[in-house]
Amino acid sequence: MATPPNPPFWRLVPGMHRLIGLKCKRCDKVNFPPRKRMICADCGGTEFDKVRIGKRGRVLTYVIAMRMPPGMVGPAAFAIIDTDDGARISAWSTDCIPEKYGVEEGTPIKCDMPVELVIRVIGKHEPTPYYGFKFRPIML
Amino acid sequence: MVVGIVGYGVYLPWCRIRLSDLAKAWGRSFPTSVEKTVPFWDEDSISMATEALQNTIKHAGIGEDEIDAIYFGTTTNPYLEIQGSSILKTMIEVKPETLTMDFTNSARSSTLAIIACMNAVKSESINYGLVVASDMLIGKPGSNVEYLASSGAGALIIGRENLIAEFEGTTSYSTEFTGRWRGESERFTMMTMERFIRGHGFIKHVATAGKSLMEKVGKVSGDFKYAVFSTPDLTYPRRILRPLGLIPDQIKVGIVANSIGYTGSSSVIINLAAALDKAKPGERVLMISYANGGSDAFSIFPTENIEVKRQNIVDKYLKRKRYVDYNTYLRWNRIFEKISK
Repeated sequence: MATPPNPPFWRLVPGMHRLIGLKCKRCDKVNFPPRKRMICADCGGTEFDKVRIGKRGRVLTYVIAMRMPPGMVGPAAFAIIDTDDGARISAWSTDCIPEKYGVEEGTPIKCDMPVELVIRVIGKHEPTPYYGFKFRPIML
Repeated sequence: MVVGIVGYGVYLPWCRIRLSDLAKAWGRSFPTSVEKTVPFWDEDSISMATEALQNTIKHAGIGEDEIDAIYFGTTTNPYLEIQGSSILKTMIEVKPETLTMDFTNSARSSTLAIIACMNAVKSESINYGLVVASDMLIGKPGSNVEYLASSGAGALIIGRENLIAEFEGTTSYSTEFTGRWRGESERFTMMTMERFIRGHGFIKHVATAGKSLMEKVGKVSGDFKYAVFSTPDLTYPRRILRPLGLIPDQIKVGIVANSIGYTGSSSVIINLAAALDKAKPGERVLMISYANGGSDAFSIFPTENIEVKRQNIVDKYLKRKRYVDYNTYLRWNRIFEKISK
């Protein structure tokens, strides 16, 4: 398990390495990330089915970070993504440099832009990496 | 029993650097058309392998639950004490009973993994095995390795049914030879004189493995339409043409090294994917890997299914590119780190 060796990170694995969501049995809302004692964000239901979330979605809103946390290289965008399955996920951008602020030529990030989620290195528990989902513009 | 490839896939990073840019920084010159891949700063062998695996599973058209084993071949595992394949297992959502194995410490770990997987499938202990090779090589700034060391990943699914290509036979040949190496706790790959590696390493081992394979399967060099090798550039395969009795047309399609550089263990699988993208049913592929005095040779026979599952994945990834300069390359590879405050 490539997560920092402590319980809080280990519990997040279903949401970090896989996109597993909890679909409410009452209102069909997909809740993400999955937690042990979950209450549906829409209807307050407490009974769920585990579902696999698709990796395509659209940007709901974003912010561009110029000063990155230690170990990360910027500038990069941090966005909230609405996936096609109805789950809401927050993720860093990758494989693109937000055009407006970067010195280099890059891919501009816009609201409602179609994106896909990919596994990348999120950070380092020195000197080893841990992984999670980031988003990038659809390329292939 | 016939064992073969059910699906294949590759992943190449988005960015490229022209070797002429790289040479300019060190006061040298280099042909402008040659380039290599540059991984984004948050990529490593595991993340690249994940995308190659996802492409492969999609191409094979089988469910994640049907995979019985994952064989991961790499020389740049980010962990020395955690299995890379067990991390990959959680990411592609296979069942927990799936067998995981790492093949490391050699750039031909990919073909060794293929042989292990073939044998397991042949003995019917597993139905579908996943072989993935991924490498992120970094050369010391200014050294000769810097011109070839690059990154990429390739994967195959091996099984007994719905084959797009069959394995007809395999041979190995290895001796003790040191050409490229990386010590424990060293970050950069080192390399001795290229002429020495090419003459006494590459040509000798690849030719011997290739000839013994042709004897074993009862074929001559003219029976193969494509020949693919693990190679850092075009000079290596050109020198192997005469010893193996091949013609230049046979290596034209399957060698993409001038566009991506030397991707270590995945080099031979990416080249195989480039050949399978173009191969028609019955056009045989000769695949020979090479690393540090060891070669594995395979004869691969595409079946009718290859037309049904046609994909041009290598071309797609080669077209998807953007150039970065040398400074960005150094920054993303963390050769220079920003000092805070």
